Amino acid sequence: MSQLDVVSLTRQFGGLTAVKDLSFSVSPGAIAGLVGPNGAGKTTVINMVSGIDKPTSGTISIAGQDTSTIKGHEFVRLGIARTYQNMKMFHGLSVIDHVIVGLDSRRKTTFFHALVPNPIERKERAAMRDKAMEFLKVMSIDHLAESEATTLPYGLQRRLEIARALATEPKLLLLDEPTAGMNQQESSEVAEVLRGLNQKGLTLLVVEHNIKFVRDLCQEVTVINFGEKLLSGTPQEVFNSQLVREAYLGKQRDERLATFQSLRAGTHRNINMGEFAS
Amino acid sequence: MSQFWDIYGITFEFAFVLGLFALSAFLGLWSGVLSLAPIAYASGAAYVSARLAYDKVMMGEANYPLVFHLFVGMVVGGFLAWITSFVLLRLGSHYLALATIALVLIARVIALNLDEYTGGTVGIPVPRQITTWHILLILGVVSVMFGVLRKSRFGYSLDAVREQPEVASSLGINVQRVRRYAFTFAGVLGGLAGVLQAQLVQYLVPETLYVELAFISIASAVLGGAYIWVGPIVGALLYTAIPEFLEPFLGSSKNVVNGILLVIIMVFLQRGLIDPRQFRAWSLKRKSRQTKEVAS
Repeated sequence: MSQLDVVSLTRQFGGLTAVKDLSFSVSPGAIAGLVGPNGAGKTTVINMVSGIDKPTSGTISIAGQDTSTIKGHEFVRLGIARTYQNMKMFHGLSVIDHVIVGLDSRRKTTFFHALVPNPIERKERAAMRDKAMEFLKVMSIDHLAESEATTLPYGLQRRLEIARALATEPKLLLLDEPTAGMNQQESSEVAEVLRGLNQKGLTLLVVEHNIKFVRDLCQEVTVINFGEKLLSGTPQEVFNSQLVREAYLGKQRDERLATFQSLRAGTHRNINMGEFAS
Repeated sequence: MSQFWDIYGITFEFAFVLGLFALSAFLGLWSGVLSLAPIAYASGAAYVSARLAYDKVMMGEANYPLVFHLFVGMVVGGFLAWITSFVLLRLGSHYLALATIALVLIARVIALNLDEYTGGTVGIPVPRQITTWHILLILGVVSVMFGVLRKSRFGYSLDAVREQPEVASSLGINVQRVRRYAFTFAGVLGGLAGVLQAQLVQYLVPETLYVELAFISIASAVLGGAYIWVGPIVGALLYTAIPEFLEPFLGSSKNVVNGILLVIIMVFLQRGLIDPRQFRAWSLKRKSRQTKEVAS
């Protein structure tokens, strides 16, 4: 059984079809990639898989369970957690507080425990701090526990965001552009962290633009363009395919001809083909 | 000292009750909701409590004990908030704010038209049972509650829901439920404060608990700092103290100066006077200085 099964998923916003008849699956324990040019509908897919958005039609099954009747905040119980492209930190909260929020689904106390001082509440509070500290250690940001989260550098915020998602104890972690705005050094660090998590048995679905990152990290890749699937397969198969190159670089024949001609004239625009060299 | 208390005692009492109103407004803000509704619930609670006392006294019997009235206030306030939350919390941010203003306006119209029970425009006298110490004690208990709440599961959920509702939901927090609890709890506090306010004024008319008080309670919460419970209380004290302090010098033009002062505070301290973020920055700085001293 797949960890995630998406079958003919469609999402329309008014007249705009953001995702159209998309099907793919992620096998358990894999690092899967979902790639495509800007505006291809990647984030829309992630939003639906994480329960923030509902599909217009089609089904999403997580570990065999259909999610069409499940509410947004209940997706946690199916073992789904996610990160965001723009990270969405809680302003004014410290680093450790972020992870404590992430632990919410594992707490036993209710609203009424919060009204008077009581030992149950106090005990749980201490336990949650310890647990949160463990997750910070996994991401090696435990020395920053008391800092204000929004003042951290980009790479560390990303680590914190992953720690916050891990606190829900997911089986499938969705990452929306985990290397957005990062330099080479930072993004290879993120890749290292993700590989480590995967070795501990976590399934990952990475939405990315950064082709090199996806090629180095993922075992299975699905490429979408204009909300439709182009193809899926191993990174080698996918990134060597004409179809995918066309999606990224335009119609190849014309484009290449133009480049060739401009090269001869000595006025070519610098198109970076390096990323696509296998 | 006792002379000072004779003059300013009543001012302090009003300030403390305003502190309670500000806390109920703060609770809404804490869940990411701007709501003036607690005043409407306060009005309902105050009328029920006042009517019960009035009937007793008219019959020539002894009034109910204070604790009973406070309890009635909390139950009525909480119940009204809980019922209306199902409709109001369906609305998004500013629509919700407008709807709660409407609720305050509606409460007045209802109070005017149910004159059989509320006395309409004439109003209803309220026997005073509270002392300054009662009010201080209540404010103290409520403050302790907020202190516990802040670092509890519910407090963290509120923080998350205010800052990033979408993320809160994806972390398994039921955003609607958290908001409903906060809204209801704000109603309970509002009802409590309403009963106190009515007893302070000792006479209840539909305008006793009305939009002016609603705006002042929101302003106190925002001025004092809507990120920790100390803020609204400090805000309420200042909001009462500043005009009182200016009165002897400026007479009725105090309101203008009051307004200007508030604008200045809000321009330079956007997160209010009491900001936990600032305290964290200070304590981190102190810690790093201490470790440096140890090292050298």
